[in-house]
Amino acid sequence: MAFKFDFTQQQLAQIIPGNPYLDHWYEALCKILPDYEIDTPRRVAAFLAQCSHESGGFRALKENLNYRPETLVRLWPSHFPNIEVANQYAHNQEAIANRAYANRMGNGDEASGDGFRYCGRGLIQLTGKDNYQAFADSIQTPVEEVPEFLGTFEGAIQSACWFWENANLNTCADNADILTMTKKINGGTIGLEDRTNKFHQALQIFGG
Amino acid sequence: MKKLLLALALVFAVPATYAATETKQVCHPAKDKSGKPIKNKDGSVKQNCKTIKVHKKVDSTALPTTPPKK
Repeated sequence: MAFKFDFTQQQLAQIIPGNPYLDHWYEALCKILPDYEIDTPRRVAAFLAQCSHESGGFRALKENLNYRPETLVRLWPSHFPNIEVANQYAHNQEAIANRAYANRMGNGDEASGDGFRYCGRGLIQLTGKDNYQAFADSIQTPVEEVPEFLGTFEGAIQSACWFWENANLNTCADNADILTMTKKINGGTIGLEDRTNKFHQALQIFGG
Repeated sequence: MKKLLLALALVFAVPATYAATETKQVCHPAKDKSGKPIKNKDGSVKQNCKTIKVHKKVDSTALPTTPPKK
C-alpha cells in the first residue's frame, strides 16, 4: 500500500510547522494512512487538517481538562450545577473526567474511574469506553492496552484513521465537504474556519 | 474463448478485491442503561454481535517525555 501521490516530509513540515517530532510523525503517517485508503491529495489534506486542528499541530495527544470552576459550570451544567460543586473538582483533571464522562459513552459511574481512563486521546481525541472498545476490536487488541497505545505516534494516528474509516470521511474528503466532516468529528462546527483553511493550505502544498 | 477468459478473470479478480478488506465478527455482552448485562430467557447473557473491518495493530513508539533539543 502506498500514497497515490508524492507525499514528502518537507510537505508535512509546512503543514505542522515547528513540530519537534516531524520525523516520527512522517514515518508513522506513511506506515498507516494508505492502509485506510487515505492516500490521495484531498484525503490526506483533509486528514491532516482535521487532526492538526484537533491536536494543536500534532502536539496534544491527550485531552486537557485543567478547568477553572466557572468553566466547569459553563461546559457541563448538569454535572457541575453550581460553583460550590465545581470548586471541589477544579484543576483536578482525573476527578473532572470521572464526573463529566460518567454513565455515558459506555463508561461506568463516577466511582468506576472510566471517565478518566477513557478520556480524549489520540489525534482525533477518541473518548469513552464504547469507542475505545470498538477501536480495540478493530486492531484485535485488549481494550486495557488502548490508553497506552493512544499515547504513541502510531496509536494516535491509527485511532484517528479508525474513526475516519467508520465515519466514512474519505467520501467527505473526496467531495471537499469540510462542513459535514467537521460535524462528524466535532459534533458541531467549532473551528470550521480553521479546519477549512488548513485543508486548502495542505491541498495547495500538495499541488492539488 | 472470450467467455472462458471472462470466467477466469472473475475467479481471480473478485477474491483479490475482497481480500483487501479483512472483516471479523465481534460480540460483546448487551447492557441496559444502568450498565447491567441483559439476560436471555435461558439465563445466558445476551450478546450484541456485528461485523467490523479489522486492521493490523502497528508497532508503536511512545512519545518522549521531554521534547528534543533544537
